[in-house]
Amino acid sequence: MEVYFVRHGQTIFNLMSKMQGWSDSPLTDVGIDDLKKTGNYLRNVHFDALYSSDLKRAMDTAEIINSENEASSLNLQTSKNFREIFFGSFEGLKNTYIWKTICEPYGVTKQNELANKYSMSFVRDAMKKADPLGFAEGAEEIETRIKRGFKQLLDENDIDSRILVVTHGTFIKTLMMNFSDINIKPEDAFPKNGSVTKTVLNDDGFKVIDFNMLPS
Amino acid sequence: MKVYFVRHGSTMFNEMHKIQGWSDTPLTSEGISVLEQTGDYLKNTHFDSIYSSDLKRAVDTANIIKDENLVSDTNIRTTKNLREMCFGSFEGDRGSDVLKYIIGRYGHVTEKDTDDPFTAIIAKGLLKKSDTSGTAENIEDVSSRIELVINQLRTENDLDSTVLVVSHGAFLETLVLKYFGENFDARGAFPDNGSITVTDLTDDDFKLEKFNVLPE
Repeated sequence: MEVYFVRHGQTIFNLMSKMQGWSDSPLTDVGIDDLKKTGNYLRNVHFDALYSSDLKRAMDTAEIINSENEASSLNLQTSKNFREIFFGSFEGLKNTYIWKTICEPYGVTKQNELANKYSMSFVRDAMKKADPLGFAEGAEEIETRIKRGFKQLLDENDIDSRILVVTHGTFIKTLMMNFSDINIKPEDAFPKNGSVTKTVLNDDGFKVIDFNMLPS
Repeated sequence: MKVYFVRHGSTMFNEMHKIQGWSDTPLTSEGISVLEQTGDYLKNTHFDSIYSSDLKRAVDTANIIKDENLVSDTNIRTTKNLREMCFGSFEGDRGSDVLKYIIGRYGHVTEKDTDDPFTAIIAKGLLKKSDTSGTAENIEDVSSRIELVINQLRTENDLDSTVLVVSHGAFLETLVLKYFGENFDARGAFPDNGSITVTDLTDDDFKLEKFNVLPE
């Protein structure tokens, strides 16, 4: 099946560079305008099903794209499986400051430096370790959740379907780094707001066809 | 008309003591349990209409109360006007860090030790003053939204209606102090999660009947 992963539109927390995983904030006007362009870009693409994470920024994104689409008749299905990574105690705090704190023991200051030195999975586990409450999702939890998401799509749809899934930045980055065989650096693997990543999913594998596509 | 104001259930940011205005986090399982009790307490109250802030914690709260209700059959109308106060760049910050920052910048904010420092900070508009994003609100801003809500309630409902309105802590505190301030001292006007405040609204009058009722 073809699965198009769309990253939600720009939100207030994106603008403020605050960590936004399971916390949520409203789409900005710029975000909404960009999504209308994404929706227009996909207007003649027929989708058999529409999923989104159950976080409001993703649901609102899905509704905008759905309203622009002229080739499908879709009901939105929400699922926790497609949520962004949970950042635990770090939710809502400033990005750069947090990563500096987490990376310090490893001799670097930025998330992508840590990922290059070790791996994406190491980064996730480092965050979980640094979370005083231990709530942040670690590498294994995320892998399990993504696989559950894949299984949900495969179980609930015919194998020749085309499906739209609205999800989040780090989620898609994890697909690129840990689930696809594309050779890409972590600093290049974070999708823009409102971008489309086309993939193919079936019982024996997952392939990324096009990453981070934006209407011109 | 009878207007029942309910504050949304406890959320992740409430429990982590993080600033939550226009940002949003999921209801906790404890928050949901309390709301089921609130819903049960109101199950035989017939609501002609239900309004809610469009933030997901409020909409989810409204849905739980609606599901428990045996005698109402109405859709939930959402409005931005019922949103919590926007805390701008402070959204998602730890409450203790914000307190330290504000006191560091403006000196002690309360007159008596028994006064709630956040109530005082909001009363003096200090968050809006220090906000770097230009999006934070103060009491005047929220007060304007409250007036729009009251107008909407009067316009859209008959005088003998009963209406449920789901909103937020600082919003409801501002409303209660604005219309019923003579009943309250410097603290004690901030409603608990899942609590009910019952009022009577007519064309030219607005009376408080019960404040911050929590079914036990």
